[in-house]
Amino acid sequence: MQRFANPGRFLRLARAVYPWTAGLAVLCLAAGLWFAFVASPPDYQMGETVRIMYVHVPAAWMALFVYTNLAVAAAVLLVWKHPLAELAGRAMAPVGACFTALCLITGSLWGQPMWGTFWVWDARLTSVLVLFFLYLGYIALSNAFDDPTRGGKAAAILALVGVVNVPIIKFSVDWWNTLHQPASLTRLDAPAIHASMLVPLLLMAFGFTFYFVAVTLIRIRTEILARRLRALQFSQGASEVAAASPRQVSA
Amino acid sequence: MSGEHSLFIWLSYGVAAIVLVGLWLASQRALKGREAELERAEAALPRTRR
Repeated sequence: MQRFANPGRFLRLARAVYPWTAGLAVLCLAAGLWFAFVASPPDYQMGETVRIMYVHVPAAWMALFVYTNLAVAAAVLLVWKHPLAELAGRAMAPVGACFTALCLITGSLWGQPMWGTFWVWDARLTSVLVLFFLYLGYIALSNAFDDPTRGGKAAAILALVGVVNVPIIKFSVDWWNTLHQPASLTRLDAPAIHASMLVPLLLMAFGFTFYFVAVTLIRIRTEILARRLRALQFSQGASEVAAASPRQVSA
Repeated sequence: MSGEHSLFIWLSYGVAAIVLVGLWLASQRALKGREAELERAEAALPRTRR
């Protein structure tokens, strides 16, 4: 694992892996959309609105999955001080924030026809909103310092503190009385969902996962190049100062 | 698909498409921008060292 944490080696690996993850994302999402709109039936209670589930539920899973990855990267940065972990965290946070925003927006659009309201301050919805603010806080904090390394460390501490919200979101529907329905797929017994609905749900979830990997690879590459550029500008600036200094002294 | 709630369904997928495609394009654009910037900085490097 340490071998691939070298930025140069990572760049080569990322360039090779990216087309595959991007292709798989497009394939899974195209198949998922076909199943979601054409091959899956309407729900006997929710009717056609059940189709919102195929984008809302995978977005919610990704919001939690990305945050867990962010917390792992934060732990690696703080314990082993590996610079690539900081860049990975910076790259992942906006992607996670987008998935969380999608989860909240599509949830509201599903809530209005089903519950009669866009929003209620129940445990599940509120804890997901807190997750969205944690992502925004991470992004703001990581960019709040002149020295990006200090910003990365401060944001990593926030990410680790905020990871306590992940089990709260997961179990909020069991611990509190909420309007939100309980888990129907990630139950210990058989999933309470028919195969005709499970297939598009899983295809969309795989599509979102490959999308996350593809976009994160692009963003980590961007972060590595930005650091190289910064180092180059710093060394150029230092050499210009060094070259200018003797002239200034002689003048 | 038509029905009394079709607006909510299309809005959900529309927002998802805009967010996901927008983020992908913005990330690609940022990468291309950084690559071009780095190329320019590296091209300028020998001149400053001379």
